[in-house]
Amino acid sequence: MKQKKKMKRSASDRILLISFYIIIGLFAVICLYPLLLAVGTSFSDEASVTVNGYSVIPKKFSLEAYGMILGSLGKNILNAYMVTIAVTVIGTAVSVLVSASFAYVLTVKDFKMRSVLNMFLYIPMIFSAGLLPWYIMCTKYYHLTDNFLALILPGCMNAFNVFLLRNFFKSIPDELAEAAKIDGANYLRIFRVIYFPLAKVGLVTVGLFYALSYWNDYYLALMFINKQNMYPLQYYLYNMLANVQFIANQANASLGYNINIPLETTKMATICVTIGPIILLYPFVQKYITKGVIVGAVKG
Amino acid sequence: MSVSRSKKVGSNSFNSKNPFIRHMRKYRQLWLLALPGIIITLMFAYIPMTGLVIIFKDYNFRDGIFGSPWVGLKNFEFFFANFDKAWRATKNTIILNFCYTVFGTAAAVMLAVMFNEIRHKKYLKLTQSLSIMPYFISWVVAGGILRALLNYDGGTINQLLTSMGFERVDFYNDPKYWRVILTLCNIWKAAGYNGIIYFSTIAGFDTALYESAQVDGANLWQRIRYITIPLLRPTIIIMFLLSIGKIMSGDLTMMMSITNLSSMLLETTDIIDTYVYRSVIGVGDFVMGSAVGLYQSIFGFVLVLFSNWLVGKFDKDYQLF
Repeated sequence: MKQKKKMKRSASDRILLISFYIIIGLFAVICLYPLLLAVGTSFSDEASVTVNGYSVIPKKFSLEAYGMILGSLGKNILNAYMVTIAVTVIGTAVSVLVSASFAYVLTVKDFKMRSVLNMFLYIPMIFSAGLLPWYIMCTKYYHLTDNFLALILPGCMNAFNVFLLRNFFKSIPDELAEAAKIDGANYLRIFRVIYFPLAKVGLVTVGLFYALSYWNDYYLALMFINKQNMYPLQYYLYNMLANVQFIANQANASLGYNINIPLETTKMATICVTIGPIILLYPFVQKYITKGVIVGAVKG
Repeated sequence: MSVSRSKKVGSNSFNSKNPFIRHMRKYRQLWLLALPGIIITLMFAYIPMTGLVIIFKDYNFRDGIFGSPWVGLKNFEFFFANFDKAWRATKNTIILNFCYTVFGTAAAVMLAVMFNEIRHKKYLKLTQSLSIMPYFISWVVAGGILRALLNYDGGTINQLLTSMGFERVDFYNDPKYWRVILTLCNIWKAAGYNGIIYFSTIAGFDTALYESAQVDGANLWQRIRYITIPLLRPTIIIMFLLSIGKIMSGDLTMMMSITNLSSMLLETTDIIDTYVYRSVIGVGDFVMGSAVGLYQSIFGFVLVLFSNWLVGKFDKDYQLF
């Protein structure tokens, strides 16, 4: 009798558990499927996409879209790629330096002004001027229109990232800094020799956050960049998607044009090219970001 | 001994009558380190705040914010006369944020609870990796792929509908679907990532509770229902309260990427951010743009204070300030 009851209980547990496995698996597939759809379509023949619709497994294989990307669009896409790489590399380096040195100052115990600086960083998180005054300041007074700096500076001091770094720095024992101070090291040196190397996980995590936001950003380009040769990849893609729609909406005027260009597959191929580096670096990126967030999110 | 003496000598030489100079001498390196961050924050956060005076001005680009003539409260009159459009944007912002929070949190918590029960290490790792992948993908890309899913011609959903004998749905010309679609997009993008954060919270719970419950004969469902969920409740409530503070904010790039600000869909997708963007950068209507922007800032601020106060009522430890 008792035995039977136990059996029954574990059976219901098992059903619940199996359904968990299935639901989790389904969610994972839902997360992956759209990306596979983009990859599949990018390797399809445009005509077969028009007739049969988008599909994960190409109905008729074709490299036409990648031919477009390497061929007639090649120069523009390569250029956009270079802009994005430059913005990401320079932007991440600048951001990490600016944020880390600010975050370090917030952790120096005997520096009384740090609470003021804390507040100074905090207030914009709860009150912001909004798009319009920010936009006018940047264009009219800082002259950021079509300026390479416009793609970097507004994003290089993210308060969330600074606080995350501060938490990482806080986990470094004070005694180290105290000892160095007694040995005559100044603040700059303590920062450079102790904090910077010891908070490596934090720096890499925050660096990846910045890199990802620079890589994926098109907000700044949308606001400030008019010159086509300064378009970053995401903004280039955005224009491509938006303009194609525009053309498709006016089917009459552009029918002849549509036939010549494999529109849908080229869009998908550009998407694949855009997310390529993220997917390649994904295992590395994922490890640091999930670990880093969990460590850094611990309230300090 | 000698160290402490030399230190004393050093600090003596730092003595100055003026406390400011004394402070600067001692901490100049720290100020130097903080300086770039201070300048950037001033430039892109504080100085734009002064630009809010634009609401009292008849703005023209040549004279800038500070040179344009003052018009007093005239802009407010115009704003209230045209309040219906701003109201639609406000309503959409609040409804969408509410949906994102409620359904997004529910999805994330469910994922976390399920992750926590999976004992098969490789399966857990694989599904977690896939679930947070969308978090790393830009909205532009997501919007482009969404089109492949929802397109009237050849979109995956419509293929599915026709194969099952249903009528096709013209998603991109019908605003009534978009609250659901946008919420689903948000879940797709963020639930996995948030789920992992909740999962790490659950992993920190005392395993003894689960073990003794198991000894007492609690089944899996009961362990989830009476241990995991109650322990998670404070975290969930706090996240919820904090999200009240963000209910007036919106994501312009998400909306642009997904709907392309299509005029067919504005009925349900026009949020404050897109409204300001459209009125200022599209039409050049600075009056409405600045008024709506100001009211977004002020209400956002009030709501943050309010939500922080609520959090404080609930648990002082989680208060932001």
